[in-house]
Amino acid sequence: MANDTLNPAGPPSPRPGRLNLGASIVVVALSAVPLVAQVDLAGSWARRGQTDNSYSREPVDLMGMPLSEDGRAKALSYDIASLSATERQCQMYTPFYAFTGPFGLQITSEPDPITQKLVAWKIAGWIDRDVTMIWMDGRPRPSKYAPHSHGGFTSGEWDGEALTAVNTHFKLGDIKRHRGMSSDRATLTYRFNRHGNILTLTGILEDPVYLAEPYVLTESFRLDTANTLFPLTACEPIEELPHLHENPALVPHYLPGQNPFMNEATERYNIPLEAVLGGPETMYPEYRKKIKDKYVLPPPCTQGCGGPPPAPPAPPAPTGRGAAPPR
Amino acid sequence: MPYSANAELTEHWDVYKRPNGEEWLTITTEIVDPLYLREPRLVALPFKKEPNGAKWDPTPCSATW
Repeated sequence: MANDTLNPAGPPSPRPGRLNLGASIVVVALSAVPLVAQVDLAGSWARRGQTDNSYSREPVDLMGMPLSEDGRAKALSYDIASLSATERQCQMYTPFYAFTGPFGLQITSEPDPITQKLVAWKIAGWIDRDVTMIWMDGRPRPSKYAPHSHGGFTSGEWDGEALTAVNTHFKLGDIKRHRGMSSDRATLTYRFNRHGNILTLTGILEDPVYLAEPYVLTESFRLDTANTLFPLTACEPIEELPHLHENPALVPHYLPGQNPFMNEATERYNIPLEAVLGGPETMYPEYRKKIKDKYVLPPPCTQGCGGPPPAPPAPPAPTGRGAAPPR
Repeated sequence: MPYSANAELTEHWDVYKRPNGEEWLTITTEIVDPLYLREPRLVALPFKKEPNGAKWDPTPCSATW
């Protein structure tokens, strides 16, 4: 009945049923058939953050990451405290941070000043993500020996209504909230699809050093016409961990086999360690069958279950005027 | 997450081929539900085309994992 109240002009509610979308309207747009050559990507795009990009709370959770052996070793040696070193606090993340970071995208077009022909699309930087210039003018890619920056070099071309961009020459950095790295030999291929006020970004990250297969993530953004969601603050290093300031030569890390968090996900959720440590197999649904017999359902969840926090302890009984009489 | 009978589901399919010949599909889904959602929910997922149907092995629903 509540549905009828909210949508008095809508069709009558169908009989409820499993896998029944009821009065839903399903529209399928096959964007592989281009209608126009180019799409305007300019605007402020607000991140919706509603696609599961494998966020996790355990410091060692590499499930779903197609890490190579070297990539796994690199991930397990990483100590997030290293980012508290003065010289590292303001270093930029890799361009892949566009998929895993918290902010939206501010995209502008960069025309030639005389001809007004599009030269590049520019994705503005964040406090910790470098600017991305997607060159559309066909300029050559730099030599592989050219200096690498945090943003790297990106060239783009239209594929029907979609913009495909290839990003290289970016520095080593993390690709999943401090739980895995890509090297300075990695390539990130973006695909931008605009559907009205929705922008979907697909990223295919390939790395001959730390990945055994491409790592693919997607994220959707909604046009923010008010342009209210974009942070324009600069990073300033502060003293985060005093012992790093007292000993600037110290670089926090874990030696092989000594990461203290390696077994945390296994102890908490009973997930086999071989799955926690990632690898290409862990990306695919059929991997569940492989570990099925090694998984035992953990006891009922008591921590991080998604429910409301436990009720606070009852306050002490009031005394004085107005207090209830003792029983 | 439940949806009501008045939910609207819109899908955008983007099929593309990579230079190495792989075929990929990104599906963007927008769910509008005036009863259970305060704003539309957006989800996008990538799929890689398998060379054949060898991995397609649907099984009946079971109450156990």
